[in-house]
Amino acid sequence: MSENENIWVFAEQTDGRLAGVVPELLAKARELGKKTGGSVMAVLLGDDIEKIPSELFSYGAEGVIEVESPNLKDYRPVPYALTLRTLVEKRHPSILLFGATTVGRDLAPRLQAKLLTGLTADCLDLGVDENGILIQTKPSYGDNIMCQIICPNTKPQMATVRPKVFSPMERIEDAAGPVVREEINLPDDESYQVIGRSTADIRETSIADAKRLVCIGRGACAEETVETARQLAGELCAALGVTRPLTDSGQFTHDDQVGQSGTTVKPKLIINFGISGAVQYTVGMQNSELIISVNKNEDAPIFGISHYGYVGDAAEFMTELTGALKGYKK
Amino acid sequence: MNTIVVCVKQVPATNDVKIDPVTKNLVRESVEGIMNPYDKNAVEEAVRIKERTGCNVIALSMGPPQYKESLREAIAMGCDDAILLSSRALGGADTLATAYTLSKGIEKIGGADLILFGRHAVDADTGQVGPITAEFLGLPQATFVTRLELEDDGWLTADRLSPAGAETVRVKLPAVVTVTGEINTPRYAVPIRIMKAARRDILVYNEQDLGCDPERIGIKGSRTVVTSVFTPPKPDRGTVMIEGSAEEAARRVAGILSDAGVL
Repeated sequence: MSENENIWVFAEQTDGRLAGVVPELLAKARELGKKTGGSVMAVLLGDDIEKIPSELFSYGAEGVIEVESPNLKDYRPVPYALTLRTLVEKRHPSILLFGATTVGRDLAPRLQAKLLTGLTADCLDLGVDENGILIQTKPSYGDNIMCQIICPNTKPQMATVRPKVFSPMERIEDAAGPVVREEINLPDDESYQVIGRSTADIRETSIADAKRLVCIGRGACAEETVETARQLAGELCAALGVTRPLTDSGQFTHDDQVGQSGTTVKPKLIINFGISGAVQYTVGMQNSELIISVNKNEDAPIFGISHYGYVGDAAEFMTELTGALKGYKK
Repeated sequence: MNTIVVCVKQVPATNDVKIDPVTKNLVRESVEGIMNPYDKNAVEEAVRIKERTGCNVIALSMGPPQYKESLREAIAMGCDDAILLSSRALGGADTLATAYTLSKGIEKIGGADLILFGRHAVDADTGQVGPITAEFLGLPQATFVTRLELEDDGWLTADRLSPAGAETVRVKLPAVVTVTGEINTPRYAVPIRIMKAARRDILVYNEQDLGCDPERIGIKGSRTVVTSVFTPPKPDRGTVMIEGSAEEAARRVAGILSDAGVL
């Protein structure tokens, strides 16, 4: 098997914590690899990262290419792109996938420009044809239309992939595999320093990882209604998410926002209150397992993507549901 | 700070686009163009810096002649000059060819201390042109920036969205920065400035003016090919509408949640 059939997944990590999108990418890459015959390699850059390869193997990586250096401790676009270019030019993978995160969408185009190859942004689906050409489906016009895009003449074929679109594989305990350690002499980047990170923003109930979500929109943004929603979320052990209009209110930030320009979520349960269901919102949550929506307007588009709907007042329903749930507590 | 280049793209006024089932072409309800909303944030940020430092702000775009409308709007908002990179040969460019052309445009201007972009254009939604341009110009970049401050020592400090929520970076000028909608509220251009801008000639450069490599522009310089365009199927949920009073409906929902095992 030649290395140039291989599928690489960028193993994004922060302070030794693997990004949630990486297992999703590994699962999809394995699916593609079955068709092309390529092996799935996770490409891991950082410092103090010795614990991560075993995690990558447990999520389906067939090999890990690792570059460890103090220069790669914090994510910085220039040294990361330089390192990846060196690896790509040595090993010639066929496909290179990134999460469409604030790291992946910063790094992938920088690397693309070094390699003069094609890159497709924010993919929602990936497939391969019989020649190993990556068929990339990306949304355009605020997710109103989809484009299929290929990069037929240059390698690697690069894509960033939206988080929470693919499901990770079942975790395999004690999985192992080959780790290739590369030494790359990097000049330090004198033009870019990370001087602070608001780790306080990693909340215990971050909406991206919550199993249950209560979401409120323009139709449920009165102060008392927000408080009622918090009580319901507390009763459900759910995180509280919002739509764009509420992120400017001071009570919520961009981190709390569900949707295209916020966070894509895929919880077991999402209950929407006073959210009409613009496509910019629904694309961020329509893969949730159970969707329940309450809205005053019976024609609200949110009902079309919901499993259950109720036409009525958001605050009143929240209060009643909070009460009804107490009856189910053991 | 001497010169800021702010790159803008004109996008359709509405995202409500559909595919003609027969021709497979885009059907746009309205062909009216507007400046990409995030690029307005970039223009606003550039003009605010100009108001503090007295620097020169040039708006730059690549596209067909009607993109002059957005460039005039940038002038009406406070940019000093505007340049359009336009010709048939530049058409059909993907992000790689677009960024190459813009980087040649920026070189033609004589470079800049700061190059601003919106985080992405709301039509194609890639966010790639800023970072690629930075690489072609050999400049550092900060993307998804929510706050920008210029320091006296030739560096900028920026807050950017990051996996942890936010991070603060220091970047040496000259640099490329892409901005989010949170960074500021773009001003409305006042009528007198709109009228003045409407009379302004917009400088147009083609690929020869820029000294572009013909292999790197337009369709020839693009690495990606769009093979099909389609309207995404809506998931069919068979939505069950719950009737009755809020109390009855809430009790029913509690039962549904219990049965589904999510409590």
